[in-house]
Amino acid sequence: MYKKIVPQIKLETYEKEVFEIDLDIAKKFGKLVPVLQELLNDDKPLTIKTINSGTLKKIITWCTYHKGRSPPPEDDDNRMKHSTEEVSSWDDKFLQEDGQAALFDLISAAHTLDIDGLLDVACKVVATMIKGKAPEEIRKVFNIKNDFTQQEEDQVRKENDWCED
Amino acid sequence: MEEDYIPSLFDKDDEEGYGPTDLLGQLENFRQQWKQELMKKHNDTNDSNTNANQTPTVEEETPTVEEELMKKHNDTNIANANQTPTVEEETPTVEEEVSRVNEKHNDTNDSNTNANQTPTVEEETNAYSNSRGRGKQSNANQTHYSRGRDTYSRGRGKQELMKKHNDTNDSNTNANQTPTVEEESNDANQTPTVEDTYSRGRGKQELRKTGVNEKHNDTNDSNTNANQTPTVEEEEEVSRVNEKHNDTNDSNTNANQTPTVEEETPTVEEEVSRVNEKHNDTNDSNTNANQTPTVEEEAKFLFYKGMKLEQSGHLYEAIKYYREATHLDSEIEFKCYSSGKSPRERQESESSVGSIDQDEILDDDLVTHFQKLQIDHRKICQQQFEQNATHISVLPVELLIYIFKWVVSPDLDIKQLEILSEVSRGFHICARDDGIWRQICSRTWGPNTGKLRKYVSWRNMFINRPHVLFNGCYISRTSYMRVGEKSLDSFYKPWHLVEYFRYMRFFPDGVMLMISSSEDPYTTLSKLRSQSTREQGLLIGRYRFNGDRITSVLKRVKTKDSTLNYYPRKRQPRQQIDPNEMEQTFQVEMEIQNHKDRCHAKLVWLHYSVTTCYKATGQLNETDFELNNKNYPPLLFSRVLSYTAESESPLE
Repeated sequence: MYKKIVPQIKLETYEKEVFEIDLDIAKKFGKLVPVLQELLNDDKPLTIKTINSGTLKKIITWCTYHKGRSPPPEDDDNRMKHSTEEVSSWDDKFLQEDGQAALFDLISAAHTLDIDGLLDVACKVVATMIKGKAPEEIRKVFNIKNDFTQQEEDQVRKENDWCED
Repeated sequence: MEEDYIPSLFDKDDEEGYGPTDLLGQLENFRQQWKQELMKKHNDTNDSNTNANQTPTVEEETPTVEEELMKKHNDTNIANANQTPTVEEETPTVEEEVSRVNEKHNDTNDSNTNANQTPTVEEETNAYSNSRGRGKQSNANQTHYSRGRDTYSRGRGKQELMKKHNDTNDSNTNANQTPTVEEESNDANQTPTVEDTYSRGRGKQELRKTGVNEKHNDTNDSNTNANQTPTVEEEEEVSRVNEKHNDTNDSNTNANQTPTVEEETPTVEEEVSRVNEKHNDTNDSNTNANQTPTVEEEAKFLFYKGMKLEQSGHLYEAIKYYREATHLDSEIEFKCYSSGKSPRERQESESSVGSIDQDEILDDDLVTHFQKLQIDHRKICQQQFEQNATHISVLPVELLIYIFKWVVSPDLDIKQLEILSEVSRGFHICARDDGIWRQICSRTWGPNTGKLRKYVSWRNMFINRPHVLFNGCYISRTSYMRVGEKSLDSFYKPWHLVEYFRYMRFFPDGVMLMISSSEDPYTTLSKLRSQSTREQGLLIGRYRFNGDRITSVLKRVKTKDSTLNYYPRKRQPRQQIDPNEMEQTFQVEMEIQNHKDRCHAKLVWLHYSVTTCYKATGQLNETDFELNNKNYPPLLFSRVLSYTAESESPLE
């Protein structure tokens, strides 16, 4: 059976699009690990309604890039450091190139599929977007409505008084 | 194609299945419900249930019941005394029940108090006591004998518990008073006439007098005064039990009596809440007036307890509670669930501030308040402007909290977390998540974090317990005048104004940096961004908290030149030790103070010395610096944004 040279599993997205994913990439999906064998033997795709095709594509791209680039162990070696920096700058670019919406899709999907590495780098990007910003700026960046009443807002401020600069 | 068989593991629409998320949420929800019933909650909780049943007398509306609960520390004792004086000949039937529960500690104490008064034979008194400990629920069985005017109550549940613990304290209190015409009692604290009451505590057959409150350090006093009725038939003993523990326990019992009906007596709730606030240690207290806790409530309590444990990872313990709960009420799980809120809502984190009774103190507890408001909203926040693309609100609460942990990071950017709580209601709930704050505390104090004890919440602990701030630097400026050299002409007498700064930067992992420099702050502050800084004159060391003091030991960092010397080339004989070579160790002790409104923003010098060790001779020489306000002014904190600009890992 030539078809099975590279074992693959099939996933169906929200748009009913079926993706064939190499086994070693699928192994990164923590949630799928227990059922991988089953999926391999099965010709029917696994439906994941909460993930759309664009996101799954990105996930596959990310996993492919990181395949074999697993984070190096703590090491002071400069060369390793360099490659870490390279990877993280690739990550940053990769995560931000499609905008915020794609980022949140990715976070949700990484959470659903339990892809630790991806979830972390994505959360880090969001944390960086938050850091150093005032409440109003954060609302603006993420398009969040200020649903406090004036009284509530005053009280929250009062509670946070202790660390005012 | 056999589409029917397509597995859909992750189908969100599947309402039946609970993902891990839903389960979590469910747990959360139960917890919240329980909280509403409880006055306060803690890891180290004590519960006190107070139930007062009053049967109004014919003429009076309210029988007066007062109960005081006093608790302190893990080991608490409680004693209650209740009295109802009756004015008219009609017998006021008063039943009071006080049940106490102390839990969770090896050295726990239980105290059950039952006060029963039966002025008349017909009346029944119920004494009810609950004791819960470690998954065990024991109902105190009390037998009352109505013999004429004698009431007799005995807490058996207590006895059981007593056996369980080595160090236990009990306080039994029985106070009964019914002023009847016939009898007089000589009890000063109590009503002039008293029915016979007889109470027995844990087989010791002790009667105690109420109305005595005593507090001692390291002492546990529980005094209860039972009223003695000078009736012929019965003998009464008054005894005091004092028990000592390492931990202090105080239990105070106040017996309040209302001599007349008209007088207002504080209601039970007021009493209880007052007492709870008085103590740092939190207690849970349920107050049910006119109600004895039903089996269902008991079961609920156990169920929530179990959930709490489960959340904290104590699965085995949790199962015990669940089992107990189900044993009491087989449908408890359903009951807890059905009265719940929306699944999303259930995921909301627990409020950091102990929530209290719903209606009254709503304003004080924003988290609970917001959680209620959000019941109808499935999303954590709303969009300001319409947007079709994915919005941040798609993220489940646990993910948002995880992102917040990234924001806080091991560098503890608390300020940013507090800013997040000002963004929106949903963000507020997440930013007050007790789990985050617990991690913050344990990152700050490490193994010395201890338990919540007097702090109501982890956030409260972090704010109020002395510690240093990490997201910036403590700075002091010292300036002095120095006579300059005489110039050639004698017209001028030059003076130099010397000004320099001292900086201290602390890291959550116990490392601190200290440097004195005359450079302007911006230059120096940027050098202190990381621990790996190697700057001439920089001292690096470790610190630890000791109450509101911080002690540290520092050494000079090895600058590049000295590093070369430090590693002698291989195969080369060690260089001759320079007889003047020495190693200096600096000992610093500071006191953490508040500066104006800012917590922990000021460090005051207490001690500063240097120990010099001459390598050649091994001689030690210790010198104390003379600390005065001029040369060693207090250091004040400044936040430095660049220190927390990046996050390398989430808070763990």
